[in-house]
Amino acid sequence: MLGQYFYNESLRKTIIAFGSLFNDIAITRKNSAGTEVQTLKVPLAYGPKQKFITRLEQDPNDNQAIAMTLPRIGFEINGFSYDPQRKLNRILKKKIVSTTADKELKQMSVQYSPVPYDVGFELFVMTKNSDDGIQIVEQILPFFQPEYTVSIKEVPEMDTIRDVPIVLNSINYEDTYAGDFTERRAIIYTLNFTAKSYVYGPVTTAKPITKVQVDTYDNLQDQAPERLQRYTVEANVDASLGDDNFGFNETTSEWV
Amino acid sequence: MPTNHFFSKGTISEQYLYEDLIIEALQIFGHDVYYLPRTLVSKDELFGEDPLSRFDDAYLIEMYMDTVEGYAGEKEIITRFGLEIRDETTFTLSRRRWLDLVSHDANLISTTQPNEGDWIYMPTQGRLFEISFVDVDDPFFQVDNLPVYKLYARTVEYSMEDLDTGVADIDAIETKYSTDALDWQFLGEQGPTTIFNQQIAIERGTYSGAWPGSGVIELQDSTNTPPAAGQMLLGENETGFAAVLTEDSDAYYAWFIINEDFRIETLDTGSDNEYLQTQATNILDFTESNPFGDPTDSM
Repeated sequence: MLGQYFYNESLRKTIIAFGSLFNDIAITRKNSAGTEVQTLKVPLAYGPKQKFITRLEQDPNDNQAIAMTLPRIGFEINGFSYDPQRKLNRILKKKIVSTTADKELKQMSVQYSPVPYDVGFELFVMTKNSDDGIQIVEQILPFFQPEYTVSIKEVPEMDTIRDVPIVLNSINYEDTYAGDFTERRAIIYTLNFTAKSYVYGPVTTAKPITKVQVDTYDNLQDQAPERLQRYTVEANVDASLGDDNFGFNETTSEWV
Repeated sequence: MPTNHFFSKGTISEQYLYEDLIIEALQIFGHDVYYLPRTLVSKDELFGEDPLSRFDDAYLIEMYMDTVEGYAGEKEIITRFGLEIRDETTFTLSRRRWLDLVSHDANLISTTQPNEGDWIYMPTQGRLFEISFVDVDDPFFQVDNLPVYKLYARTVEYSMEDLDTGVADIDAIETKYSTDALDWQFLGEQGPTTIFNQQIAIERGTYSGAWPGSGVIELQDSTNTPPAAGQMLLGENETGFAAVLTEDSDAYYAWFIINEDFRIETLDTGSDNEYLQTQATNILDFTESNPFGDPTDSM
């Protein structure tokens, strides 16, 4: 019943849009004289990946000299939930007519209202030094009040561009500085976000009726009728008018 | 009641013998490793850290790996940050050998024992370890002395510390893993402390090696050929500069130019920065100024 294949990449685009907000963060380090001596671009990666791909990308020859490089940022989806507050009338349709000049290719695309979903994201910031961590977090927080809105080209074939607010819900901070000397210290900030996104259904297409032909007969079909009249109406398609109501050519032929 | 003085727990000669045997055993069964003392550059008093730490020296010394069957720890794991190598081990090294070979280093914060926070490079597998804990009394006074240190170490979480030890394999770690953009900065030919001036030459006076051909403008009272110092016209003194900066730079922010080979994707192969940037170009719409989004668009 639901098996009509379609894939608008709504969620993938949301992930990319979310990630791209944080892909250009850098921190600096200054010496005691106040001179900037290091400027580090912070690596960012989507967390969930195939283990073997991660291994082959990062350390294919098993010769990684270090545990990992810090600071770095990771992010992942942590859930989806339907948002009834943004619910749209489900029978609303968006229609768009292709602007091709070719009458045979001209068609209308139709898509029903999208379904509002909140996409939960977690962004993890891990650093070796406290100052690195607060530099990164301080470059993120001012942009979220508490949301930051991006415009996403959600369904290009329908010219659908929608503003998606990304809301910063909470920030957790974990610093395992206490304890045994042999325990690893980890400074991790976890920022929880909600992207107020939409999920789109399939786009259906239908070609417009450009020609109608009606034949009139003098009797019922089983009485071997003779045709009396043929009435034809044909749309006068103008290539420059993509979704115009055209004009019509009417033709009447009579056999009396 | 004091201990029984008829039973000795160790004489000086016994202690030396015991220590000699340990050193010999370490040299037979141990590994050659490099000990890298940490240099504190700009300690942050508030957070108690030094992000700019550097490692300028490397001392070759023998150490025994207590985890004889390989590294301990969680080893290779996948986390939300990608691949991590959480190798741990315990190194045993002779106290006397450390004092002989390493303790004179001027950067050591404590010169009487290895320091927590110093690094150890193990060439056997090319791994860099950080000393997390120095156990100074294990084994505990067996012949009334403490001949060894035990260094609990785990792989380094590298945060762009400078490695200038002079050992090529160690210094290459910084080159390979550092994401410091300033390493890729265009620098001026002369350093900021250099003061230089040049002769003012006539336009077609290309220097051909022999005088007169250099085209240097000679002062009227010049008697030497070629003119000696003070007998030719010189440009005003110029002070060298460290880096090529853009016009927007001011006293607080230095906007610099970096080589286009600086790519986070190459330096950190687990990062998605550039992929996300490329993909987002096709997904994000910037045709309308968004007053609730990017502030630079609304200004």
